[in-house]
Amino acid sequence: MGASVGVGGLIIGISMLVVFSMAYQAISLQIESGVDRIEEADEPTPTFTIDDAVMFTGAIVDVTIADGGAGYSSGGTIEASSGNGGFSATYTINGTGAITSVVITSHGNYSSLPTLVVNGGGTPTSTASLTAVRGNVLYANITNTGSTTIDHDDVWMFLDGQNATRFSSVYNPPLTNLWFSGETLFLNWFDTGLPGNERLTLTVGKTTIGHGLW
Amino acid sequence: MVMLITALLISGGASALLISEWSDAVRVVQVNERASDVRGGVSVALAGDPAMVAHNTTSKTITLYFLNTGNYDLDASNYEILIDGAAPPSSTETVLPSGTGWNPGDLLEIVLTDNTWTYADGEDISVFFVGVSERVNGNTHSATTNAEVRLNAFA
Repeated sequence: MGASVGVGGLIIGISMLVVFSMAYQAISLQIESGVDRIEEADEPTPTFTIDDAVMFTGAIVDVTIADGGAGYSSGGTIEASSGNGGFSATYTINGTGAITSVVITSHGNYSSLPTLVVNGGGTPTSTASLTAVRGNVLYANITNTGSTTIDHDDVWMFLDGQNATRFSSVYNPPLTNLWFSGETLFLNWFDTGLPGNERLTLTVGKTTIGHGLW
Repeated sequence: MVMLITALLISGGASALLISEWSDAVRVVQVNERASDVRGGVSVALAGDPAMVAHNTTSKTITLYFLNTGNYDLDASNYEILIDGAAPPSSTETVLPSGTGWNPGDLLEIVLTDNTWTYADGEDISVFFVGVSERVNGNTHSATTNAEVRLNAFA
């Protein structure tokens, strides 16, 4: 009698161990797949807007220094001597007062190549020879309207649907390479020949937004 | 005593067999579960301007961009693409920006050529793309996307 009870008890105990083992493995599997699904569902879709976008096809995108001149003082500006295109630039000089580099502060927009002059640069002993280079400038404001932070490397830009360009290759961020929720970025993209002038399109993940260039 | 030992041996053997079989079953389920998870991480999307897809009417080419929106590399040379349900006879592809593997976040620029195309500017076409992932955990998975796009025809 005692032996039978003992045998029965052992069989029941082992059976319970088997059931427990099966249940443990099944629950572990369920938890693992459940956590994976929660992590997948946690990734929100990026959303953003192109608030405005405009392109100027007669902008001054570079200044060639054929002759830096001499005797210039710092603090002056380089302007266009003709037209009201709005070009402006600053410059740096070396020890003899020659202009060595130019930083464009306003690209302007011109129908023909303007002549450049230095204003407020003192009394030069030799006049600099500066030549404007015309090209295209695209200005755009874009806003991250979603809840996710977007890396600049994840943003692709297209002009007239062509020439895919990474946003990070033409945008110089002031601090980091991240586009935070609610942040508006000002794009100032200039080149001697941007490949389109009708539409700007941005693609981030599965989200694509287009905007006409006015 | 003999009965007890016999019962123990039989029940122990049965338990070991059951646990082993159950473990095998769970392992198979886990393998499929992981494959399923990878499948969910393989995706592709049409990138670029769907309202201005470049169509060169001289060279008879259409240029399309596809973005790897998944978590795994895709095979840049193993894909199929249909334009209005027909496969163009010729295509060339370039991965941007690296030019090597089609990693997550990278673009695949595909230039399709078909000398029979007579599409006009502003015409809408249907694009279907299916790509294949690189091998992940011994498995490859496909990703598809389709879209209606408008051509920007130029000579």
